[in-house]
This record gives sequence, C-alpha cells and structure tokens, in this order.
Amino acid sequence: MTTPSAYRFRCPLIFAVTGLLAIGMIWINSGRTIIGLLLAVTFILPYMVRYRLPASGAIIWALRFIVYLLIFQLTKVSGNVYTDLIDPSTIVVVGYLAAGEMVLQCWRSRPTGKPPGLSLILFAGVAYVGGCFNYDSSLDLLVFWLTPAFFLLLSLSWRRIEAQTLYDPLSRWAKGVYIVTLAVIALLGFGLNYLISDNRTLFTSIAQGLLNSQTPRDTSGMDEQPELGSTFGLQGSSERVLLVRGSLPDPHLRGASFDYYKSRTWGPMTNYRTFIPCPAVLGVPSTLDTVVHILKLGYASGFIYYPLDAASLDLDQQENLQWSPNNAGPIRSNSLGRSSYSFTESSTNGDFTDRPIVSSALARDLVVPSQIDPAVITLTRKITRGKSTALAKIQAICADLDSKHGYSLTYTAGNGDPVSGFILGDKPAHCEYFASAAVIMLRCADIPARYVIGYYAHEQDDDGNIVVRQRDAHAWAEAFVQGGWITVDATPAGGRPDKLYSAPTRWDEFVDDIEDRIQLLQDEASEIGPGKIFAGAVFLIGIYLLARILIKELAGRGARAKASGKARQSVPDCGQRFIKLLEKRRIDIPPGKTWQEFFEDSRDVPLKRDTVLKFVVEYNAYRFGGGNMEELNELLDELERYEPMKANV
Amino acid sequence: MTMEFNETAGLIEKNLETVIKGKGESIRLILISLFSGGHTLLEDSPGTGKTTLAKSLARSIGGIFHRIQFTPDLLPADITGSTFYNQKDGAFTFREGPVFANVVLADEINRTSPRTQSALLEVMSENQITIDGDRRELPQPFFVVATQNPGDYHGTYPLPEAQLDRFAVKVKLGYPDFDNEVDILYSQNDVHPFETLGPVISCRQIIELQEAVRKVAFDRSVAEYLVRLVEASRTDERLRLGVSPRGSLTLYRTSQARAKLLGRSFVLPDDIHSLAVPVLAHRIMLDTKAKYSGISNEDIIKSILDKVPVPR
Repeated sequence: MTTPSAYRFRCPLIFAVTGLLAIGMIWINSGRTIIGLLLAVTFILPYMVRYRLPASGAIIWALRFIVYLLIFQLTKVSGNVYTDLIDPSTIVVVGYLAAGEMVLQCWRSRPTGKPPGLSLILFAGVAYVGGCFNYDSSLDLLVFWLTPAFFLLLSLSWRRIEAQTLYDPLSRWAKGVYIVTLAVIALLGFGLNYLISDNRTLFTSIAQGLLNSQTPRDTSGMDEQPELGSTFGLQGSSERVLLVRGSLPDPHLRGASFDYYKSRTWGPMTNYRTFIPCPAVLGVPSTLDTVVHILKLGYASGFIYYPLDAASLDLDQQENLQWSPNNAGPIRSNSLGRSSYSFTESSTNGDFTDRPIVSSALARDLVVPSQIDPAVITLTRKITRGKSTALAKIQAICADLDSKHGYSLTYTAGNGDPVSGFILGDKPAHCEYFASAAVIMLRCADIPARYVIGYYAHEQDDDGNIVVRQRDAHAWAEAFVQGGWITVDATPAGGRPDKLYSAPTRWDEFVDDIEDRIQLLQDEASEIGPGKIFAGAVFLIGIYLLARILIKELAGRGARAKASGKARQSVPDCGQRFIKLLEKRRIDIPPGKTWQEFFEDSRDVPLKRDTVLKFVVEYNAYRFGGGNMEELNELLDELERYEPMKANV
Repeated sequence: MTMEFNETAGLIEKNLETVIKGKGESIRLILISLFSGGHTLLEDSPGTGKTTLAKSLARSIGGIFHRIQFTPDLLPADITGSTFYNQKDGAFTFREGPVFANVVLADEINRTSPRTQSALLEVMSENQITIDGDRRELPQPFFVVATQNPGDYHGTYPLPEAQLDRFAVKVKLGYPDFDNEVDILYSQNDVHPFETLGPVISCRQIIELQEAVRKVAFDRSVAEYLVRLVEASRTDERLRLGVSPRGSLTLYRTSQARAKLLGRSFVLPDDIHSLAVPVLAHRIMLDTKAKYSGISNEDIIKSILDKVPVPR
C-alpha cells in the first residue's frame, strides 16, 4: 500500500479567495464581527477533518433522517399566520437543514484519490448565498459583479483540488477537531438562520420584485390603456427614452390622454381610436417661440411626447406618423429605432393643434362614472365649498389629496372601485391613483378633466440636455380652465420622479456611455463605403492567416518534442535536485528499483526517513499524476538541512 | 459512481478473508484482474484452497455463478450449450451452457482435453458465443476464474501458451503460514465459513468500477517503461517466447486497476513492478537450456525488472 503522507494543511490559494469572498459578503452585510469569525473558522475546519461515515449505504440516510427529524421538532413554530411571501418558519427550517447537511457532509468517509471538495464548495455556496440574500441596496452592484467572479473562482478551485488532494490526510490531532467542528457548524447554522430570518422583509420585497419583473410590459413604458395596478411597474428601469435639447418650463411631457374611466381602466384604448396620417408640421410656429429638439432613443413604437404648452410640432419622419385628432392626440410613430422631432414652446398660445374646443368633447370629460361612490361627490363638494374660481377648486382638491395620502409604489386596493376607495381612505399610493383621483374629483367639481400619461423630464446631464429615463414615467391630470387645458399634478412632491430618482447612479452613467459608444459605431457603420469594407476584410484575413501560422508553428513544436520523447522523459528540476542530493550523500539506488521501493526497504540511509518517504510520494504524484509541486521544494530544503551523524557517513 | 472504489474492494477483501486466511496479496491480485476486465488463473498444489477462494469470490459478487468441473470426457457443448429437438413443440431449442454466467469457475481446467479448453478460452476473449450460426452475448461482467494443478501432475493436459496468454494474471496461493493454518483448523470446527458468505457487490457496480479503472492517468514515461520491459523479454536469449502485445496491454490495464485500488488516480512504476510477475510470468517460454538450469519464469521477469532503468 502507498504510505499516506503525514497530515499537512493544504489550502489552495484560489479556494481561500473564494472562501474569503463569501465571508466578506456576510461580514459586510451583517455588521456583526462574531459571525464573520465563525465563518472563517468553519471554512478552515472541515478542511482538516477526516471523513468518517461511509459515502453510501443506510447509515447516512438514517442519520440524515434523525437530524432532520430533530430539526423539525426543535423548530416547530406555533400556528402564526404570516402574510409575507416567505414564511419565517420555513426559513428557520431551511437554515437548520443547511447546517445539518453540512455536518453530515463533513463526516462522510472519503477514500483516497477522490476530490474531497464538494461539501466544502457546497458550503462556500451556502455561505455566499447567505451573504447575498442579506441584501443591502447599496451593495447590489457589488453582488452583481461578484456573482460571476464567484462561480469562476469556484470552478478553478475545483480543478486545483482534484489534482492536489491525492492523499487523504490522517492526523492524530484532527480527531479532537471533529467535536469542535460539529459545534461550530451547528453554530453556523444558527447564525445563517438568524441572518436570513432577520431579513425576511427584504426577501419578500426581492421576491415581489422578481414576480413583477416577470409580468410582460410594453417596453415603450406607456400602456395602450392605463390600468390601476397594485404597483407602479416601471420602478427602477434606468433605460433612456428621450433626450431633450432645450429648456422645458413644464417638466410634464404628455404622451396620450384618456377620457373614459371604467372599472380601474382608462379609455378609450389607443388602438381603437381613429388615426389619420399626420401632417409634417402641426400648429403655427412663431419666431418668438423657443424651439426644443427631442431625440427619441431605443424602442420607439410609442407616442410623440410634448408639453402641453407646445405651440407647434415639427415632425421629421412624417410618413411614419399618424395621429388621432378626435381624442386630443396621441401622435404615434410606427417606425422602430431612433427618431427626432422638435416643437416650439409658447407661454401664451398652448394647444398647437388650434383645434376648436368642441363642447361635446368637453362634455365627455365631465362625466363622473356611475361606479364612483356618491360619497366622493359629497366629499368633493365639501372641499370646494366657498371656492369661487376653478383654480381655487383645483388647489383645494390637490391640497386635500396631499394632506391625506403619502406616496408608495405599492397600493393594495380593497373591494369596490379602487379610485373611490383611494379618495375616501387615507392609504399611500402611486401616481396613477393620484392622477385618477384628481380627474374624478375635478369632474365632481364640474371642471372638465382627463387622465394623461407621459414622462416627467427632470434630469439634466453634463451637456445641458434633459435625459428622460423609463423610470420617469408618470401620470397626471389635465383640467380645462378658462378656455384652455392646464396640467394638474396631484402626486405629492415626494412621489414625483425627480425626488425618487434625483440623480443617475454611476452604473446608469456607465450604461449610457456604452450605449452612446455603440450608437456612434452604428452611425459610423452606416456610412461605411466599399473602400472601408475592403480594408476591413484585408485586415481580418491578415489576422486570420497570422493566427493560423502561429498555431501551426506552436503545434508543430509540441509534436516534434513529443516524437523525440524529450518533453515527457525529462526529469523535473526537483527530481534533479533530489538525485544530486543522493549523490552527495553517497546513496546508490539500483536503476531497476523505484525510489519508493528502495526507501521503504532500506532503513539506514543518511536522510530523514519520514521526510524522504513523504517526498517520494509527493514527487510521484507530481511526476506521474500531474499533482502540484509547491511543497516538493520545501521538503527538499528539509532533507538538505538534515545532517546525519558523522559516524554514519 | 455511487460507491467509492477502494471501499468496494475493501468489502470484497474482508469478505474473502473470513474464508481464506492470510492470502491478502493473492486476493488483491484477483480483484485487480476482475476490475481490469481480465480473467484469473489460480495455480497450486491440490488442497491449498483454490476452489474455495474462487467460490467465495463468486459468492461475494451478486450475479449468476456457474461452476464447471473439468474432466477428461467433457465436450465443448457441455460448456457453451447446445440446441436440442424439443418434441413438445416440434422445434429446436437452445439450452444455455454453464458459461452463461457472470462468474464462471472453471475448476481444474487442465484436466480436460485441449479441444474443450479452447472452447472456453474462445469465449473468454470474445465475450460472445456463436452456436449454429446464432450469435449470443454473454452477461456482463463476465469473469472466469480457472484453477489448475501444476503441469507435471498426473492426468493433466497443460494449457498451450496461446491460451495461457488469455488470462490476465496467474496467481499462486502457496501454503498458509503456521498461525493461519492453526486458525483454519478452528474456523472450520462448527461450520465452514464459506456457508455464511453473502454478496457484497452487484454486477452493475463492477461494471462501473471497470469503467472507473480506464480513467486512471498513465504517464507516457511509465508507458514507455512498460514497453521497454516487454521488449527486453523479447530479446532475452534465455527465452523462446517473449511477452505478446496482449501481455503489455494487460499489464497496462491491470496497473491502472492497482493504482485505483490503492486510491491513486495515476499509475506509478511501482504498480508495474508489483504486477510484472503475476501478469507476465505465465506468458513467456523458457528455452530448453534455461529450463534445465533450474531458472523459473518468475526469475527471468525479476531479472528484467532489475535490468531496465525505472523512470524517475
């Protein structure tokens, strides 16, 4: 039998890095030093433990069963009902199960010659996941980048371990460590469980976010037919939609307006409106007005966005545009990709269409839907009592909404009509609710009003342009006052996109930059002529040929070396060094004997016996098994240091 | 693989040692030949436990076990099976012979005629039988343990070289040492320990282990060393017949099995050293001069091992 090498602690560098990464994650997130320390110890200890249980057979399953049974017994939670997505009792049990499994994995018996790392790598994974789930939004970027890094390092460490741990270390003192490990790992289970259950609200919100991200949405950011949902789904998406060159006195860029309200949806649906081809210039441009250019980026099947006080609209791509004059727009484009247009702004002359205000259209915007609770009408009358002008009424309504409701991205509607429920209650909600409530209440106060969706443009970039992102999507109301439409934004100031997303993050800036560069390349590419194509082709073919020649040359060198037998036959440096040492000590080994045979048989060589046997085993693993040679030179140093008694030489 | 390699091998070894005392080295050689997919020839004087060992091994492996007692009047069809006319349904039916098994014990193989011997040996190398034009596959794994008395005993037909070459290893049992022999006396006092033996490994596991053996790394320098040994046997002037390429192939595979059995994932020159005699010695033939000067096949292989330098 091969002599197992004496116990030595091996920790491949990459594995250590992997472990430290996971520990670091938990440490940073938990802010509790003790858990980080526990993790560090637990990472190192299983490495030193010799596996005990047989890898298969009934005993492991029996033990597993007992451990799980105990865990379930110990963690039985009294019958509380939780409304959260993730039941904390489940998390408790999962935490304990993970700990139990780790204990069992560490005690598995493992014969020599097998990679031992699976349980450890599983463990690293559990720790890492624990770290990631203990989620802090300021660290999400870090997690995002660490995930691929973690898996890369994991796979690398797996390869290293396979080659390295060819012998199962046996140590006398390791026996005492069994018990300590057991205790530490159990403690870790507690720690992990504590971490996870402590952060279950975070879990819930993450899970909810994931669920929301799964529901299909119009990528233009605007719905054909707005519907009052429980959440405002566009939160967080920082994709750029519009680039506005010029100044906007009113940040509300309207896309489409809606007149009818029925069971939590606003209509009419855009697709059902009557569209006609759009003239190139709408309205009458005046030289006094300021011109604002808008560049529409990305996916552009949506609407043309413009402020309410636009006096004229100059559309570059007329052939693709159509509009619906009967419903106060919208103007929409059928073409995909980037497009640009410009409009003029006038403080005096709003509504560029010059469309005569038809009384039937106004009547449409005065209808209070039948499903609205009569209490809403009573409430509105109470609020606006004594207010003589329409503007005063509007202010009173907005002030009432602002005083009762806060802002929240989620809103759980009760039974009955959600808008009535919102107006009469005092729960926080998102802009869709504020806009709907404002429209309904304005109508109750006999002011024509409509529901508008669009973007709230607020973000200035370094070049003085206004950047509009997907997350700046917004909804508000428009009221007809003194012969014209005005914007009524009832959403509390704290809930508007400029407060929610005050500045782009560095990540946003990075993505924007990349996008701009890609766009530049695309623009360049569209201008490439045959000359450039030819030059590019020549360049690519040249690179290809060069690579072919290089590969062939290198491969040929390898093959020649192999054929002459030199590559595989040469004794590696540490072997040469050992042979020199043997000569120096006058140890003569017959050519037909292997080193292992020789040193196992001969007891009185002038070399340290344990070390030399260890060296031979390690050397064989390196020379014939592709193991690593890190420790060989150390062992050689040790052998050379050892001076036999003079009398023996 | 559900079961670890040397765990399984350890189980079989332990199982066998309850019956055969103090023969760990021989048992390990048999296991090496089993896991390398070869067959074993057990040779020694009568009464040293060859048949008991072979039977115990068969019992340790779950699967079909058949024993063929070779006698001078045994015919090839008695081994392979034959077609007979079934009067009930008026058709020819094939009745499988005893070779249709996972473990076949060919007891006293050198007591039967060369014609019958070659019938078995053909099966061993092909793993299939063609009878009356129909090809029939043998069950897997297929492992033959043959026993024989040394050639110069009465009533034997020595196996020709071509047939010896088909056995992966030839194992000699030898007499037990003093203490073990005393133990043997006591252990068989009440009941033969063989009766209590049960299977510890399944056929499926053996196939898995055989596949695992093929994955053991074999450094080119070690392979070259192996071939140098074999070449030395072909040029040795004391030999009439050197080791065949089949011999080097077997040494290659058995070295992998030994490495795996000892928990290594790579082959060392040491593996070749300890297997050279049992794998190669029965494949060479001494010339007349050497034979009468008292040199044995084992001595020749050992001298070759001393002569060819080991890769460092």
